[in-house]
Amino acid sequence: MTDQLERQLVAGFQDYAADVRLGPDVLDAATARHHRRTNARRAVVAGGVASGAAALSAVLVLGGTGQPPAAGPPPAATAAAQTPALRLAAAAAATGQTSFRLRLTLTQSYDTGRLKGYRESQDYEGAFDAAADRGYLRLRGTPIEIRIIGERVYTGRPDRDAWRRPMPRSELADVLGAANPATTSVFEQLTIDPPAVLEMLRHLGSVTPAGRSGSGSAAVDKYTFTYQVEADASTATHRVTGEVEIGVRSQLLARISQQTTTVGANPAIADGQPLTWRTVIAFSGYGTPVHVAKPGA
Amino acid sequence: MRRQNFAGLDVFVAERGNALLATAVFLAGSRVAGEDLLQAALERLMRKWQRVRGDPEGYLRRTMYHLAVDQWRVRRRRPEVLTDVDLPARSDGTDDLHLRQALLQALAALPPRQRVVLVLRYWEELSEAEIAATLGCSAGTVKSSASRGLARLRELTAPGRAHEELISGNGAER
Repeated sequence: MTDQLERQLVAGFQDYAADVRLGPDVLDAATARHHRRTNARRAVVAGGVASGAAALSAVLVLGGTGQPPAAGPPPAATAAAQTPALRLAAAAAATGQTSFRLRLTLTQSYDTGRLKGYRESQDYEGAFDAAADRGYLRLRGTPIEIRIIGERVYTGRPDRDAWRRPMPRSELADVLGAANPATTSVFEQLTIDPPAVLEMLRHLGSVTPAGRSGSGSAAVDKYTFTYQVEADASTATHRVTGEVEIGVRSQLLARISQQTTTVGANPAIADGQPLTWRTVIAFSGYGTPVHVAKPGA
Repeated sequence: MRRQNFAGLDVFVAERGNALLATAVFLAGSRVAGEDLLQAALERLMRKWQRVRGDPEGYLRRTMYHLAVDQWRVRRRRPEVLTDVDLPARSDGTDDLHLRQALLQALAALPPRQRVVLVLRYWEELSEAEIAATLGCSAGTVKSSASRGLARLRELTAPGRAHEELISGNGAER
């Protein structure tokens, strides 16, 4: 029976393959997909989401530094005396020393042009304990979970207790990239060194206080920033705009959002359609316990 | 851009596209998912085009195998049942024809790894050792996946149950 089954399976393959025809649009679609990816990557490499990546990397990577969690908000006078850029840097550093929940939303869209209407978005939710240097991210709408434990990254499905072999922390970008190339771009640009984060925040360009909103524990101070990214061989000059929210009481990062739109350096040749890139990272639940177990333990 | 940076890709796809699509459809479980799988693999090939021009088909196929196994991790999409298979009439009778159609439908309902192993074994004609090396697993895993896959195919194509169960989706992996 098995032999016959196998023979018929082979025959079934052959029958189907004899008639299948590849449409011309498959390569076009693959090319468009490649353009979207390279366009998004160039935006990131050029600095489009550098601050978000750096801030997120700070909170994901600063764990294990041996530094104690933040003891509490700094005196108001101290915070007020800081320049906006220094305040952002201090908030990023402090956030990297505690635990928190986070939500990361990445959106790429063509808002104008021939590809108008295309939109792709990914949501990650998770939590991270910087002191214990472990946390997790879950791709919303899927059973996929990524666990970050020290120098190891585990990807799998907890519902089936099915896990891939662990990967080095340095390959977190690749793990996330499997879900979305743009995510890879974000994480490939990790700035994991605290002084580098500080330096990056100092170079955000024009950081402008944008007032306070909310009340009580939800009150945040907002800062906007904008800077221009000069053209390189592949991407035309583009401008990044963004907003950072810092909790008034916590003095920790509450939200980072930013946006940029890129086209190729020579749109007649490549990446002529303007791709808009939006990234939102929301932090909450500071100090919340984060329970992450090594798969199979 | 394609002409400038991907010289030869058009020709490669024109020459090998049909065969690659067939493999992609078997791996993914439906025409739509197969085209999507092939697109994804082509996009990855573009990233490496300058480095893999010596054997683009090998790279592309290996990429498709791995993406097919990992599809549960990539997105929420799940394989659709191969209800769009339209087999041509053959001189060897309708029973065989129906069995082949049922087998392809049943194949689409298998878990990804079992499906990929069977495609590599019976369509790509790789040995168990070659499959193990390709997928980065042990030969024992290949053997057990193939065995379980064939057993499941036999169950699903048993007289009186195959089509109804598959088309209703009850036999598909959730």
